Amino acid sequence: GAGGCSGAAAMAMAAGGERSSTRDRLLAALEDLELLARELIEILAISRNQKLPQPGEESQILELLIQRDGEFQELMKLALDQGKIHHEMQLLEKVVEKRDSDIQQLQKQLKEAEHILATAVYQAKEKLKSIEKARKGAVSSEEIIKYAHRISASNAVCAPLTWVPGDPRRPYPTDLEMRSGLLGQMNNPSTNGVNGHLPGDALAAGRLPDVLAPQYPWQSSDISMNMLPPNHSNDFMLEPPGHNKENEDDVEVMSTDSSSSSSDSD
Amino acid sequence: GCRGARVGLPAMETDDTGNRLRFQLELEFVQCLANPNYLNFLAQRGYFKDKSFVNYLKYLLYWKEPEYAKYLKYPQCLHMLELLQYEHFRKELVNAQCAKFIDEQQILHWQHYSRKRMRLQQALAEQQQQNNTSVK
Repeated sequence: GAGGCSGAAAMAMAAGGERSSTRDRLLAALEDLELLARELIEILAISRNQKLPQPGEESQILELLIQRDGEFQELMKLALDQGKIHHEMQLLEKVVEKRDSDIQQLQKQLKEAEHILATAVYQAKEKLKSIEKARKGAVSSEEIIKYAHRISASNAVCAPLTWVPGDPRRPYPTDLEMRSGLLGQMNNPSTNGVNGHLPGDALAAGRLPDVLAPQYPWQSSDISMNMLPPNHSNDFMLEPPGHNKENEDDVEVMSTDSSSSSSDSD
Repeated sequence: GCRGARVGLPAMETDDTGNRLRFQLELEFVQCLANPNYLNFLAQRGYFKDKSFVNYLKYLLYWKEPEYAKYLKYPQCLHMLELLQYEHFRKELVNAQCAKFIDEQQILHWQHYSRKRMRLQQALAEQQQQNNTSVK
């Protein structure tokens, strides 16, 4: 009786102070109500038969009961609101999910587009490179025709139609032509034969080729002034960068020769 | 054989005359490389073993550029020049037989178009003959 009542009161106080879930609180309130109702009924049952040990107890319990019921009703309202909110939350979650999948879809498409664009850009760059390469190597058709004429008319790349074995003409500069050139003149300044032909030469073949001219066209002098050979020191002892194709291992560092070499060999 | 100039050129001047001369000398020399007999000559006298000469051959590769190549009357020299970059080729050129083989091949190649033309002319002549006989 008394223990149960104070127990219910203690429980009521405890339940009000905790931050427990609405469900727990509802259940606790229901329990309290159940307890209080039982208490009341007990007391009322007892008071029919005997005098109450504590007067006014039943009104106390009744008040507690009413109070607890009030709380219970509040909690029910709260639960209802919370239910609505929960429902909304679920709806929103669904929306979020949809948005997420939309974003993922867009992401996929973007990635694809990026890939395609990257490929296109790469190929375009390659194209540009080859265009640039072609442009750099461009030669005017006129020049090509002139050059073709030059090397064919002199029989440099195509044999003369009347050529037979024994003809001294060759697809390269012959002894004769070499001696008559600047190089030949430099080495044999005093032994020039007539017209630059040395005695006992290819003339031993017996005939004078009729393509001979005082100025051999293979030593062109029709160069423009800005057409000069690349600069180099006379010092070929120095190993140039990126040297012999086969002897990568044989590279030695040569000491530089201070004087330029200009001696004739013979 | 012919005496080619030694690699060392006259003291290089920085003025245009010197450069012009150097241009012509190098133009001549690089074309001489088209002559396999000359290459044999150079090989036998040990020029190809001279490091500075080999470097010079590498330097001469500038003649491959179109703005220089257009002055070459014997463009085959460029092929020889390329081959000369390889030590194996330089070593082989000591043999007279090697030089002779190259010479023969060069001449045969040189005659390629004239032979082709002769064949075409022959074929044409035969065909005309056939037409004439059929007309009659």
